[in-house]
Amino acid sequence: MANDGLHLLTIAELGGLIRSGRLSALELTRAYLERIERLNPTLGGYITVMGESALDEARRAESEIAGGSYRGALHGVPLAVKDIIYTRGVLTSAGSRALSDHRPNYDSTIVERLRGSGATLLGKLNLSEFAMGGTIEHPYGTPRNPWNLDRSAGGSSSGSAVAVAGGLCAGALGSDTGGSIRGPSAFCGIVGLRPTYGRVTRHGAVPMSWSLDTVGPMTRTVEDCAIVLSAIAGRDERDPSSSAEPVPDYLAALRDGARGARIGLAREMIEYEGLDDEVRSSVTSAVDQLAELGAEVGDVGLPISAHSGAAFLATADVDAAAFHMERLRTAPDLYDWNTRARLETAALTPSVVYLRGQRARALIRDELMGALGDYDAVAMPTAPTLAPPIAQSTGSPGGYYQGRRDLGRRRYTSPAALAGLPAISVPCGFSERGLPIGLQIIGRPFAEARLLAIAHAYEQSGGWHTRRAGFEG
Amino acid sequence: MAEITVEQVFQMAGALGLEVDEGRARVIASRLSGVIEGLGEIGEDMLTRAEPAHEFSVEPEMGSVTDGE
Repeated sequence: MANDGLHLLTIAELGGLIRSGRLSALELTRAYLERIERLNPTLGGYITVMGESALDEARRAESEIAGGSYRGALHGVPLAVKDIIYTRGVLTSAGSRALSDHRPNYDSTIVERLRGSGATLLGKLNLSEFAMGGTIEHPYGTPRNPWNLDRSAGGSSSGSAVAVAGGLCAGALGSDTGGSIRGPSAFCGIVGLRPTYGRVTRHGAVPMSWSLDTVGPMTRTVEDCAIVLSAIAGRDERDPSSSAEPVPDYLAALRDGARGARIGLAREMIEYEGLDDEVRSSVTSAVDQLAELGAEVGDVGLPISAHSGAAFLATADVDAAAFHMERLRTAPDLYDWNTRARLETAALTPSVVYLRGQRARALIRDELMGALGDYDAVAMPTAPTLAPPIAQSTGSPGGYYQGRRDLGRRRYTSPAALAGLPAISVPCGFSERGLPIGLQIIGRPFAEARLLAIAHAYEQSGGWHTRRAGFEG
Repeated sequence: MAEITVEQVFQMAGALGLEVDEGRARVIASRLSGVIEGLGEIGEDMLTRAEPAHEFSVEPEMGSVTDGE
């Protein structure tokens, strides 16, 4: 099979070709490695490329499949993981100079699970420093949005979004503490799922916030998202926060569609004065489209969640400061300017303010759970703006990650995070200048199958997922 | 709650052993004041009525998200 368009194929398509013997897992991995070598200097998606081990894994996959031992839809499929996920003997930098020689002596459970499913691991993906967002200087290269190289890919799972949208891997893992999967997915025109807190193990992932961190899939289609989630979900004895809730058949659930689903469009998120008009228009059109597909659509008020940004910062950043405190004292210059300022802000947060954040968290959680008593899912934009220019997307004073603008954008991704709920971002259109827009759908605890079914039905009717970034000219 | 001043940032940073220069102190004071203001927008009555979320876990059944022990 010709290698030219392999990077355009979905995981589901690649899996089918590999299983039938029409595509060599080794040739596929070689094709991806060639693209990474050629394009990563421009896109800045990868920090470490694991070429040799990837080729070994691909050879093994090919041999196993030829011998009749097919492991499933990921067997022989090249994936990559955010560089907070531990890989034995391989740099795990968390995007920071502070961990520039950090080579764990064990694999994270997630990497074990991906390898167990037969996937080929291409490498470790770039990110905002310590998964915090707002990095000014990326020590391993600036991730660039494949839809417009002068635009931000979002944060913190920027490299994961860049690699998937740019065709540098078939799918990726990111992490989402307060929107780090969903935001970059929206900006880069791909699908990203934040699972329910505890649905996917966090063992062997550099933490930001113990009560908010999740790891999840970032892919080109919802079906691919279901495939990757199936491989990584489930109880892990090495992560006490992971859940024993049974893992359903996510792929089979896609057939359920959106018919009969009750979906509430979040009023405060649509009426927000900082919401870009093109985003508002695309998201409301997407919800109208869901109604045409048989969903029962209404609107829902989330007045407290509209102030969730401050509660998020008072929670997540204080957790992060606790993790970084010793290094902040002894080697603060190892941090990016903004990461350091953000951690120091959190370290100086009075305990009474932290407790007010926890009170707010309880209120936001109750509000969202109340809405999900009336509706199966809540819909809203993933981000209030289009991907900002890279210079504006940094944490430097006045940038995208500063002040009211920062709290304004956080109202979209913080509610699901603070409530521990699953949320998916799926492409729902493009701006006039060709920048992607994301629809976010939030569901009940452990209702990832329902979210995937709704998102899949919308995706298949909208067709936005078939567009490709034109950065190669 | 009141705003955090640059002087207060220097005092608290000193107590914690953090080196903070003037430029970053201004940013920290502004950000911290923003968080305090943002939380205040929820409303004092509601905030004081709510039980803080402590240890966090999620249960599969609706309405059974639990806090702590």
